Amino acid sequence: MEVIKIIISFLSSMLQFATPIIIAGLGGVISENAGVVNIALEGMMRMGGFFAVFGAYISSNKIDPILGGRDPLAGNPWIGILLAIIIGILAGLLHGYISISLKGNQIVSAVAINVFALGGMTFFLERYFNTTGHSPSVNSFMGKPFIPILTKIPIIGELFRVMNVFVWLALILPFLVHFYLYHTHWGLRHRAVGEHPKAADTLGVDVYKVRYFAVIISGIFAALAGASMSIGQLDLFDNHMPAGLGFIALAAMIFGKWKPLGTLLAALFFTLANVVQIFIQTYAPDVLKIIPRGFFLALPYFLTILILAGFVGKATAPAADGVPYEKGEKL
Amino acid sequence: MKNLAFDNINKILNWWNAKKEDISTFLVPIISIIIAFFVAAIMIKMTGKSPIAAYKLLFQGALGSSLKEFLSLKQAGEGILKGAILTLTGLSVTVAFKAGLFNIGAEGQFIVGAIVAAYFGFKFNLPPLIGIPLILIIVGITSGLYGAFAAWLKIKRGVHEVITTIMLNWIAIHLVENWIVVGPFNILRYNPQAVLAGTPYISDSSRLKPLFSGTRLNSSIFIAIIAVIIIYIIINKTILGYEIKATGLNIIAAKYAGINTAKTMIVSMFIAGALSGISGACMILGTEGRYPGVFRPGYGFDGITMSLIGNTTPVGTFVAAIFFGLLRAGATGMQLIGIHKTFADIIQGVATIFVAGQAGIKYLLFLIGEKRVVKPREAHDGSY
Repeated sequence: MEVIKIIISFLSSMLQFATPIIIAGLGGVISENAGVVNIALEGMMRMGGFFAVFGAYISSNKIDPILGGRDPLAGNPWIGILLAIIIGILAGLLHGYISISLKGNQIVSAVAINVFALGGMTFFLERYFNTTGHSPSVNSFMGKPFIPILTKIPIIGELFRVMNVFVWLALILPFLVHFYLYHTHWGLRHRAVGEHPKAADTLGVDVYKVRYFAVIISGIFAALAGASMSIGQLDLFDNHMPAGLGFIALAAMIFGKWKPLGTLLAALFFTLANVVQIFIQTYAPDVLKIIPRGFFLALPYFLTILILAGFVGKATAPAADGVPYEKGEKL
Repeated sequence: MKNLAFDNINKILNWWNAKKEDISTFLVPIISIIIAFFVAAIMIKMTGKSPIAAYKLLFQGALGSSLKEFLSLKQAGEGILKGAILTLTGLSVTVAFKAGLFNIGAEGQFIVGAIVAAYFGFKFNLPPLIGIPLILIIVGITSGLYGAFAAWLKIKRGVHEVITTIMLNWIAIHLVENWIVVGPFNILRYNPQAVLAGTPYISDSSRLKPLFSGTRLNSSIFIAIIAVIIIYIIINKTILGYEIKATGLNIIAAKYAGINTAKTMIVSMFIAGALSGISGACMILGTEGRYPGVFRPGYGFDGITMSLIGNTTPVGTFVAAIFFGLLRAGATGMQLIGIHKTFADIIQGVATIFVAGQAGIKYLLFLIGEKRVVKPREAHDGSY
């Protein structure tokens, strides 16, 4: 029984930790399959994470009986999700406008968004919550199973207890994105724009429109991933968020060979390394004396380099990834 | 009289039309920074504070509240010190850019340089004039190799350097923070009574001492200036620089011209890595004195924006770095009215967004003196 308990808690930690990586990684998949590199996932997650908490906070109209002011726990986390989606759309539009319409450097634009998110969210945190550490606890999805009835199942019911709306989203979205990209004619167009925009254009696909769509969806996914950290895993926005998870998501996308289901597996695999490390720390701390924590934490990135270098399988980006498209340009 | 005025305007417009390409390149970063200050002012206004008061504090925090204080460098020293660190990481990105490579890895190379400097700074106890250059050389080689590894992967295995350098950043961060600093090179190994996290303090002779009392400004600024001069000479006056630029502009043409592009890319990434590493070393040997438990000042990532806002030229990078160094130091002053110092990141981020979308600014600039709004397109000659 003890063993089963540990296994269940292991699996539920994995699901929780993998959720933001999966959702953000899918954002990367959508964007890069249409030919727009998005290393701004980190910054977009940060914005989404903050505004999710902010939405859950301002939707409260109760007065805190003790402290006065707004009672942060009386808000509606769904408003938080809505606000995160809106900020994701805006961030996606910005990245899209620079990289698609202005044909600017996509990496520069993304770096700029990351830098802005870093300072901007600290600024807002201080403006609205008077702190640069973390926001107060808000009403969130933390510890709220999306389908409560499933938690009644004996033994594995515990697993469903941690499965809030974001975890379900992370488990379902990869299949939806897979279906969209590989089994619909929109998906075919989407990939064509990423592989050979000129050919797609000749066949009447509006390259700019598809790319804008992709970047905006990517922004929404990244923002939701951020929200899944702030109002899913926790109930507050910590100023360290997302602590590099945006880059792990990027690595997961590459490790998953720019494919949605591959990204899902890669994200789970990367989380495995992290969860194993945490469990070793709790149950067998002596092991960390032989294999330091840093090795586990660096492993995902190291594997990504290996796979990219072709030592472990081969990953190839969509052919036109990162190349701005100019209508009427000669080949 | 009327005709004369008209002629003059025409003359100016003709001059503008002839030079606008060059001038716009120069103007874009300046306009971007000005817009960024406006955007930030709106954000301050939103918080119900006065942007003018905030900017006044920013200015005083950066340069000092009087001319005398400014000249004594008491206040400005801090900004110049930050500028020196930023110059080195910025130059790192610039050198890679010239070879057509995007060095997102400045952060990782910075951290590698910092930990190596912390180790040898602790081990060595040589006269400063021998010890410090020796440490910088060792740091340059280690971080240089770390940077060159990304170029090697690109040449040998065709992996895009943006991805590898991002991954190498996090490998460096995790291995240093969660292994080296807490394990083999932890202060407890050398001093079991220590209550600090991080590594032991470096020897006194390895320290870059403040240039004068009342400031933290140290000889990092001279290291930075020397680096700017060397990189300027390499890029503009040497065969290597010519090869780097040729590779960056058109790698296929460079190959046909007989340039060993693989070697050129590796060398430029080696130089890039070395510069970032020396930047990290300057922080350890100068202000930190050891590698603290967690050390992520983010100067590596900032180097990217310094290089971009400086138009990816050595001198431009230097100017941008000193400007943003002062801005960062000055932003601390704004905490007096409750604006966090990361405010500098907002200005930096917004300015970079506009530099990234510079086609928009250039388009508006080009509208001046242009009769036709539509960009003339080359006639289609029917061939594909």
